[in-house]
Amino acid sequence: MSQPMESAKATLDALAEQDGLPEEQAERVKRASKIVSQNLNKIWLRTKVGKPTAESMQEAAEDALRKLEAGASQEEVKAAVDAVEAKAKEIEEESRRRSMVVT
Amino acid sequence: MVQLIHAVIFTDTKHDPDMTTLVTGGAGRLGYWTASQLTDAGHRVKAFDLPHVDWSHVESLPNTTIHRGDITDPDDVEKACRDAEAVVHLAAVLPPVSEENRELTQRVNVQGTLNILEAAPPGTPIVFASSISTYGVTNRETPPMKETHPQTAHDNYSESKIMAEKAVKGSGRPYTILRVAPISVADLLELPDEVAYRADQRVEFIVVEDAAQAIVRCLDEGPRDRVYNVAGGPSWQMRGEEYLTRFYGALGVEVEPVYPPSYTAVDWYDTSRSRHLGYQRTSFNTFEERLVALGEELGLR
Repeated sequence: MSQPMESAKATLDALAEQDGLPEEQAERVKRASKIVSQNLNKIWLRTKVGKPTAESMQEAAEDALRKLEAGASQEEVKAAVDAVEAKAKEIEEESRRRSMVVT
Repeated sequence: MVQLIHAVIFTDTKHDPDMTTLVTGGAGRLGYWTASQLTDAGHRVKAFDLPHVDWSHVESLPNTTIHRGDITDPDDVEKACRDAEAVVHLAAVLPPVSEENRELTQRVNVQGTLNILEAAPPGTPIVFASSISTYGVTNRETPPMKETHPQTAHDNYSESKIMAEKAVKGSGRPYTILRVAPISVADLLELPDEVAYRADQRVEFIVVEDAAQAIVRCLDEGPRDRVYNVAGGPSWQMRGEEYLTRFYGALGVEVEPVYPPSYTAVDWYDTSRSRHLGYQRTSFNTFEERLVALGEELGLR
């Protein structure tokens, strides 16, 4: 299991529960958390190529939580959630690309 | 005299290296490799695929034009087919998506094929990628499976491929149908929640570059209205558990695959009919060596 991904999941779950986060953004964070959860055991995220992606997911989650807790502006928080969402989608897409399909 | 007649017949339909070939599904793994090998041989390629897919690899190929469109849209297909002198038809919905949506599978895999057959200029030869899964679940039979084996629509995907094969055969166009074995790539692939074959099941895969080579060679030899099995060959014939153990072992990864309770439509295939195409260039040992190198590069070994 990828440690940065586990950490990202915990941070995203904490972020989604924060009172100051607008509902629409909380839903997006929950979706990102679900993607992270589904990809916790992916092998590619433990490789030299994948580790930086997992770490940047963790950083994006921590950045969003930090901004919210520090009382950053709505725009700043929204931008941080956008970054979280984009990173989660990147992970989802790469895992899909690497799926072993038999036809 | 017999030789002369033979030469006349097949020279007429042979693929000229200068020809323009439309490759549908051109941005996919097999599509990219097919386009790449065609352009390496000096051919011009029109790569056709959905607008939103990843085109980055194809965009770097020389002598390749990109056609973003939808195979289910006759107008898009008609535009892509203009000036095509040969068609390699690979675009399809694959499992697991095909099994979640029969209507989409029919629309893409069957109607999409009909759109191509309708739009391609008269006489344009077509190489159509079908699947060995059309033989159905054959674990109780004696391998290898030949091209003469009856076809069985056992799921949405195989049903659509059987219907599309029928359309190609009935189109009056010169054709080659390739029943391609499951494709493997020397890359780090993730195991699905449940593997698509049993541990003790006979399996035979083919590396993507070799499958692409089979397509290119079919164009070179000219369509002969024939059906070929395309699979890796004897070195790739093994049991499901051995395949996964060797695949992930070479990468340096420990996995715990979950196997299905029932046998599925993968087996060993008779490729004696297609072997003259010379596409079986990668033995499983060579494939393993590539995976070992990749495992080291990725820091897994």
